[in-house]
Amino acid sequence: MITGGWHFVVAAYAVTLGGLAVLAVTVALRARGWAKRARELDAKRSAEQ
Amino acid sequence: MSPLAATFRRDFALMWGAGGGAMAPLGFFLGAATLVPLAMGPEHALLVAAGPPLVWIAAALAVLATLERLFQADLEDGSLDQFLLSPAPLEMIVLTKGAALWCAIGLPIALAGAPVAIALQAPLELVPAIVMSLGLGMAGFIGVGLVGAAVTAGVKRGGVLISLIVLPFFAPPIIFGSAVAGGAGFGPAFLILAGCGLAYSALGPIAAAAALRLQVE
Amino acid sequence: MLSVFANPARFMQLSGWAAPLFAVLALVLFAVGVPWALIYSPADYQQGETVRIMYVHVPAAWWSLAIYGFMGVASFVGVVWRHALADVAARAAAPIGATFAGLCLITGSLWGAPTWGTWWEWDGRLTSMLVLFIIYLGYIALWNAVEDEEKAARLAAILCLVGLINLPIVHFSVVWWSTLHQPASVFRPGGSAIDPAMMGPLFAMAFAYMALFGALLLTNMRAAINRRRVEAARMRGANAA
Repeated sequence: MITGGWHFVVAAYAVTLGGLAVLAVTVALRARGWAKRARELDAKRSAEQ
Repeated sequence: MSPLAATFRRDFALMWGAGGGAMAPLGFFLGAATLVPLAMGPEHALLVAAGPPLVWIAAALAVLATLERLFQADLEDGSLDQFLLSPAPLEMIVLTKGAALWCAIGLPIALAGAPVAIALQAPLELVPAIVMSLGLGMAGFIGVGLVGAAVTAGVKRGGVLISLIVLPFFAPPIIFGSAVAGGAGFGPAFLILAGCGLAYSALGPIAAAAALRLQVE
Repeated sequence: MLSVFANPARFMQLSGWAAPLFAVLALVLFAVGVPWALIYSPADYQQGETVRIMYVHVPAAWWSLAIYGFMGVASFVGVVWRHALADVAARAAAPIGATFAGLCLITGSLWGAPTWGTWWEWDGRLTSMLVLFIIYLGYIALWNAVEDEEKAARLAAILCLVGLINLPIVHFSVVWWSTLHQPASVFRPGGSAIDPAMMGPLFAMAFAYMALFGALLLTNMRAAINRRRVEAARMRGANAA
């Protein structure tokens, strides 16, 4: 049986959770940016009408 | 002359004629194969153990180097529109182009595989199997390469992109071809490689033709 | 069924509450799954504590494969029915699948170090995952390289479907190759039967990944639809001026 090895476990979880968090934040920020510009577009359109 | 025969003659002539002709990929193949012992060191035992399969790396690179202009030139000069107007189905025209490429590049490289494999210390009795497997593997590489070249035909400087797209598809022929060159000879690996090569060269043109139809839209 | 999602306005309405719902679900499942996997699950009788890497590695492998399958289905729908949202979905899924595949490779390496005694073993499954990762990169690169978005969608769909046909061939050949070259004594994580006590955290983590994929996919699709609207308006503005 392999004893110890906790630092490998901790590293794997840190990389996974960190990687997923970075992905989630990037996706969310990008989506927020485009949603903001789409709202500005809608506001401009309703102002023009 | 039928449209397919005309396509074959045109493409074959173009490949022999332009940019150093078919000698360029052949020279590239020899050059890449020369780098192998330079990277591994000239030690005889090491080359005997690991050298012959590396023929396949050189062959794969030589195919990659020819793919970029394959359909790009046809797209730019309007030949692709002519292909679409032709009575022959586009799939057959693409298959014919692939066959011309195989004759101009695949066959010479497969034949040149004999001296290269011997130089990389392959035993003589393996050489016929290596040459034949290279011929089949080149058909597979070209079949997949047609798809890569077709989807990137509209991309400027798409050479690196083609390589990135196509390389994962090179894995099966490389695996079985290297097994043949590594000592398996005409065994099951050779048969699987033959199946791979034929399947790729049959299915590749269908996918490539679908992509080319989009390129001219 | 499909026509429900054909209307982008309808999709925006539905995804407006579905995406946060999936996000909350993912957070809850991770909050349950991570402590379960790290603390409240048994150590393996052979691998000791390192077996805990399985709970982040295996779901990443499952979902990166499943996401490629999802992209294949979406590409097929996009090609056959010219379904605009299907193209958006395929493109939106790709970076998520690529990230999962990359995390699978890194955690596989971290698992291999203590169990195999090496950071990288050309094991059949890890090698297929590496090939899948490269296929993802090629797919994303093609999308980015073709300027006309309509055309990029169709071309990427063709590439995705070709890749889907090829993936089993690659997997078969890589497994054949690794069993040929590898001594059978090599220790294979996850190769043996899994203790029932490990199923709970494994499935909790698998569902957490799935919920996260759902949330990120929908968010990416919403971003793409908004981006298209903004860009289309800008194009019209440029044409009118």
